[in-house]
This record gives sequence, C-alpha cells and structure tokens, in this order.
Amino acid sequence: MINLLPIENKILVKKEYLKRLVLVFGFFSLITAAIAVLLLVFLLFLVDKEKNDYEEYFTLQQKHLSFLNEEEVVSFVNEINSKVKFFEENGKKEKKASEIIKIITETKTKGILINYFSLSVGLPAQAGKISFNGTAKTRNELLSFVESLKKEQVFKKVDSPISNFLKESNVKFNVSIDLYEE
Amino acid sequence: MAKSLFDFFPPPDYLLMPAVGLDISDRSIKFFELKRKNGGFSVSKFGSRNLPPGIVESGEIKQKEKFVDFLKSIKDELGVKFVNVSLPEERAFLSRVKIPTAKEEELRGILEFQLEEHIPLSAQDAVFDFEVVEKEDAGKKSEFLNVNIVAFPKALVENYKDAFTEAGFVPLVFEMEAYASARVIMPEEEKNFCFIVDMGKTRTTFAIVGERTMQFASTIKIGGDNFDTVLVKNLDISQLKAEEIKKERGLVRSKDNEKIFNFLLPTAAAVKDEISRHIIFWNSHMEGSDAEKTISKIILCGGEANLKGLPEYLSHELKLPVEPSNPWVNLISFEKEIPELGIEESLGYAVAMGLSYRSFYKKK
Repeated sequence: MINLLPIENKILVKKEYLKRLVLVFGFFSLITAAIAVLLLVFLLFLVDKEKNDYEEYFTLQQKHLSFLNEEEVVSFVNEINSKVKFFEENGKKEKKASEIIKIITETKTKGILINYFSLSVGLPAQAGKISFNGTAKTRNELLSFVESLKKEQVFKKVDSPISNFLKESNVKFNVSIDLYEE
Repeated sequence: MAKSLFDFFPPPDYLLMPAVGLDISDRSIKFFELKRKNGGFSVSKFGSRNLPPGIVESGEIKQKEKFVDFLKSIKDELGVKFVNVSLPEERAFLSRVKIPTAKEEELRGILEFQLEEHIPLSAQDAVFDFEVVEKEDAGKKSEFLNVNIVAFPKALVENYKDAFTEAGFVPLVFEMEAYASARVIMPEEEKNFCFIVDMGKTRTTFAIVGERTMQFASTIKIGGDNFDTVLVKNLDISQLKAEEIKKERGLVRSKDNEKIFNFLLPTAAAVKDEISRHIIFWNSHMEGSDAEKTISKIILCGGEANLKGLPEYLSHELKLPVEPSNPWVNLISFEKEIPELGIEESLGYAVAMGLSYRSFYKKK
C-alpha cells in the first residue's frame, strides 16, 4: 500500500514495529517458559509424591517382614520340608510294597492262590513285615513256593509254620516275611 | 474467500499499531478511529473540528504554529499517539507507468531515476511511493509492469510531518485521500470499475477504482462552498442561511424549487462536465479488449455528496447509475451492529474512516 511518509520516518515506524515484535515475542516466550516451569514444578511435585508413596510402601513392607520371627520362619520351613519328605518317603514305600508283592506273585506257581496281603511298615529305622495267606493245590507246590521265597535276597526271613503242611492237598497256608531295614 | 492464519489468530493491537485517521482539509480536520470487536469493527471515536480560515489553504499549511496548536488540542482530546493522515489531493501527482520487469527491491531506484518523465517534480523535490498494479501478459512471464506512482512535493510532506511531530503525534501513514476513501466505499467484492466522486467544501476529487486498485485520480476546485456562494450572491443571504437552504432544498427539479435549482445548476453542471470528460476519456481508452474496464457506475461520497437531487441529476445527465456510497460496507454489517455514525453523516468521514481502516486492512 502506498505510504507517502518520508523514508526516514518509515524507517522509524519499522523500527518501532520490530521493537514491538521483539517485545511481543519475548512476552509470549516468557509466558510459555513460565507455563513450562509451572508444569515442570507440578510434574516434579507429582513425581516426588509418587516417590514418597513408594518409599512409604517399601518401608511398610520391610516393617511387615521384620514382624515375622526368624524362628517362626525356620519352623515353618521345617514343617514344609518334613511334609515334602513324608510324601517322598511314602512314595518310596508304596513303590517298595508293590515291588515285594510283584516278587511274591511272580514266584508263585499256578497251583498257588493268594487271598490276602498284609503289609506293615514301621518308622524308617524299623524293619517292615509282609504276611499273606491263600490256598495251594498240593503240599509240594506250597513247599517249592516257600523255598523259592526263601531264596529271594530281598527278604530277610520267610516264616511258614508247620501247620501249613499238614494237609496233602488243597492246603490253606499263611506265610509271613520279614523285610530288611531301610 | 480463503482465510489466512491471521484470520484465525489475529495479531494483537499492540503489533498492529492502530492509528486514528485524520482527514485534513482547508476547512476542517476530521478524525475517526476504528477498534476491533467480536471479529468485526466498531467505532471508537470520531469527530470534526472546523479549522479557522487561512491556516491551511489549498492543502498547504500557511500558519504552521496555529496548525500545530490546533493539532495539539486534538491530540489532548483524543489521547492517542499514532495517526494516519491524508495529504491534500490537489497537490498530489498520480501517474501510471509501464516499466520493464525488475526485482521488487530495484523498483524504487528505477522509478526514482525516471520520476521526472512522469510527474513535474524532480526526485530530490518529491516524496513518492508506488504500487505494482498489474503485470502485462498475465499468465505468461511478463516483460513489463504497470506501476502507480503517487508523489507529493517534498516541502509539503516535510511541513506536514514536522507539524504532526511537533504536536506530539507519530504519523504512521501519509496517504492520498482518494486511496483512503476508496478503501471503505468500494465493496471488497466489487468487480466493476467505478467512478468515485468525493465532494468536499472546497474541492471535488474524482477517482476511478477497479481491480481493487486506484486507476486514476484528479481534483477540481469546485465544492459545496460554491453552491453556498451562488445562493449568497443571488439571494443576498448569509453563508449559514445559504448552507441551510442548500441542505433543505437541494438540486431537486420541482415547481417549488425551480429558483434554487436554477441557481445551483451551473455549479452542478460544471462538476457533471468534469465527470463526463473523465469518463469519456477513460472509456475511450478501454474499448475493445478492455471493454470490461469501462465505468459501470458512479459512487458519491464526501460531506457535500448529501446534496438532495444530485445523484438523480448526475444519473440523468451521464446516463449511468449514481449511488451514494456506504462507508460501512467493508467494516460493519448493519445486521449485527448499528454504528453511532449515520450513513449520511459518515459520507463526510469516508477519508478518515479509510485511513483508520488501513491499520487492519489486508489487501487481497
């Protein structure tokens, strides 16, 4: 747009405009910086609060842990260990019983019929005992079955009473076997 | 119309440096200030102070001290610093120059070098400014530029500058009256070429505006005072009474008003003849490929444009539509706000309004 102001005055007006532009820019920059600082302070406050909350939480947790007595913890762990051990050992015993029965049933002949098994397993330090009864077709078959059992290394002692051999045939018998200690 | 970023985020007033528009004539100083309001404008202040005779004559400051005192009193009243000031039309030189295409920063030097070829002032004795109006061969790489040069005698401009500076004002703009008034009275969407008649008390300015720029401007020393003088002489009445009769009766052709009409007719006819001469000259140069640039209507503005019957008389004689201007057309929608200044009164403030509007105006 045409402006007939003398050049030197136009320069003054332009300088005034530039001065104002710088002031406005500076003012807005200052405002922006102030807002940014306020936001940062606010964020810092929030982060600090969060940090304090976590610190309080950790302190509380630590205090809670310290409330638990060391002995209580040890006894609790022991209890857990004994339970684990119990289940382990029981598992072994079950395995042992089944192996013994398996040996007995594999040793017997066709003429031997076993009706009943009784397994008594004591504490780990004590020996176990297994008894069973049944019917044999002949006395000789029973005799050879008992002899076979006595030959088995896993049994400590095989006890077959005389009364088992009184009859010639259709012999009812009762055998008890002592097991080795663990 | 596409909106720019500044339409959504307008720069603050502090950066725009809004200025009061001051329209200086031999008889008065009119001031007008716009302020932004709700995305539009409203009037902040306006007024007119009669300038005692002899201080400014034919646009030239004759009694500088009195003029400065007068300006100081206005400054005290307004309490403003920045002003946009109109320079007297009768001392202006407007010329259309065709120059080879050059870089924008080189244009001033080129024009300064050949200034004397276009206006009767040397570069040392003139203050001039220019605007590129259009490029020749639009669409192609143009070889020539059409440039409007406006120049004023340096002594006159310096005199105005010193007076305003001494009065405590900071002038931001010195502008030709025709440019200022066209800014507010030419609707921004107007596509046609219009002939603006700005009738003041002592002079009448003619301007041809089209393609959103000034095409031509000229001033004659006939104004509203000439109507008064005729009535004073013929009816042997005071100037005040003559003014009253002129406003009341005007240039209305009727049996009751035949006498007054006949007294005023020669002055109106002189204005009409000048308008006719300019329009014929302009239109004759715009025949053929530039036919769309012929004058399509006449717009009246200025304090004396309210003369009753003048639009009808000019329209009848010139065979063109003549309409009073609406200086609010680009500023305020009457559906949203009724300005304090009525349409008729605002005709006299068109220049001051245009000067004030310049602070916010973006040329599209």
